[in-house]
Amino acid sequence: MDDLTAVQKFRYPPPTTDAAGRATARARLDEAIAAAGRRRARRRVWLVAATSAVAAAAAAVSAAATGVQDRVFDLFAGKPAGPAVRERLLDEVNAERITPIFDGTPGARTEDARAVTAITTMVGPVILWVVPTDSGPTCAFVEVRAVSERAGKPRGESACLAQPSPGGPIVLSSLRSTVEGRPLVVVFGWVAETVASLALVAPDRSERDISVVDRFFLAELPREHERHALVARAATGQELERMTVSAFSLDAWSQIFNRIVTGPERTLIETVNWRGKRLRLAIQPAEGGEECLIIEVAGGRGTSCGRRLGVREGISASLSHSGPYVYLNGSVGPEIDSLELRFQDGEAVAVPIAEGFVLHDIPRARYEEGERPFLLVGRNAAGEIVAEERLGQTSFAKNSSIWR
Amino acid sequence: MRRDSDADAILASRRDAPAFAVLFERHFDAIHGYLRRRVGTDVADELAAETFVQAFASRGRYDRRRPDALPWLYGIAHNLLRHHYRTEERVLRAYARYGVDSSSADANAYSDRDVAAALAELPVHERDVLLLFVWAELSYDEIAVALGLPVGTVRSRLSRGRTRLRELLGGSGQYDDEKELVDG
Repeated sequence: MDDLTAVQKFRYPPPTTDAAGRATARARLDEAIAAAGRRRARRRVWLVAATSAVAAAAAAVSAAATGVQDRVFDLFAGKPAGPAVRERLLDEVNAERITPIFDGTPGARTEDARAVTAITTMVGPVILWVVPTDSGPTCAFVEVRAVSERAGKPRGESACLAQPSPGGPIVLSSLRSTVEGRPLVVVFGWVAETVASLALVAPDRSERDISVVDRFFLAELPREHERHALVARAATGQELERMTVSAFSLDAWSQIFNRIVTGPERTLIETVNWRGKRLRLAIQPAEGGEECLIIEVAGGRGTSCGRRLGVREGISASLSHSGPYVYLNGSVGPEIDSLELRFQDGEAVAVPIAEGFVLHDIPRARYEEGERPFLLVGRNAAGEIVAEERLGQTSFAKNSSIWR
Repeated sequence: MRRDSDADAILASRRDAPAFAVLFERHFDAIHGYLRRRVGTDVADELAAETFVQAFASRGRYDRRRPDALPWLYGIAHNLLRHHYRTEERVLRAYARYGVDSSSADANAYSDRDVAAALAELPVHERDVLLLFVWAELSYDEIAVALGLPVGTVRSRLSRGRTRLRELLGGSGQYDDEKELVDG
């Protein structure tokens, strides 16, 4: 008998669960579920009151305002509105009012502008609107309703957000304003797919969960001088990134949101794409032991920063597109010595790795169904396959900018 | 009829909280049985109940790309179990000293008392991985999810744990080849 069998047999079979213990456990869960229902009901009452200003504004904008209050409430409740609700919101309320904000943004697909989440702050409702762009980044607009109502048109802060990555899972921007004599500090942004939860951690280590809706978040910073931390965690609870945020120190503010770089850019990969346009990947040191990853594609530039930009193990890479160009970017763990990109027609090419990072052009001839790249295979120094990553195909979608 | 995945149920429970009860019905026995083997009935009753209450509270953080929630539930159970490692070791040592061996016709079989003594001596982090592998029958990937570890660490801990277990049981040999293990 081997060791595993011995362990398997030990205390086996376990005695079956007695009915009383099971019933007690179920009762505790039912009580937790019921308590959550009661909290939700209380929050609903409070939120309806808090959102009345938004509902009123919505009603003023839309002649067909019936039911708008419910839909705005749906956003405020911290849950993403369903597709039908969003569609109607856009049709009835948002599109006309908000799309001018994004009109000046190059490549913005204003027809896809939408509200993703909203919060109630000390100065009233604040709404996060986003719009995708042809060039890749998502642009966001944080609307402060109190200011919009006074101005008679949307007022807030806009920013185009870089693509988050597993190495820099939080892309953060901010709005700092004074509304009717009251200070308002809001952080907003989006997170990588690997992020399952976000929390704001106070100096006393107490935590406040921040809702992530469709990977976007919006939160008001507490009115304290202490620095807080914005912490991203994976589903396992593992901490992926911790960023210091502080409300009232302008110097600190500048450091937080415009990370101060401490050294020159160091180019790791530089090549040209199928049309002769430059592709470049560089890293740059920043304060606090962080590094920033810079990716330039045909004149467009994206930056993400964090304490660790690459993955520790395996492959984390995906296909992205910018205008008509598709490229592969990401990182691989140190155990991977070589990387192979496989195409649907059975062909394969080697993808260069530079200090764990990858940036590789996909030629135009590879955009068609049956020809596309679909799999990355990582091998160790002995040539053994140690990791595989299946590539998403959204860059080749019918509505992708690559076809325009 | 297709059964909704655990992830579907958790997602549904974000809007309709009672939908979470499906997870309890599906997985309570597995979680409770595992905990019971580790820390006995009384503590297991408490920990299993708390596991589901905590899982419900943190359902918003669940990675919906993982259809099976069992590894996640084991992870929560393990976080709770940490406070009871001493209890577990006391019980194992008592079992090793006074436990009644099941009768075995196999002369090469290790006695339950041997196994209890060996498990009590294993470092906790190796015992956790080993017992999730053997008792909970989780794969490497699932153990990695449950304990929040890289898969490579799971492999190495299991290998070291087996080597040490074998030594403690009076055998020899080193397990450094995953092919010797059956990865579910």
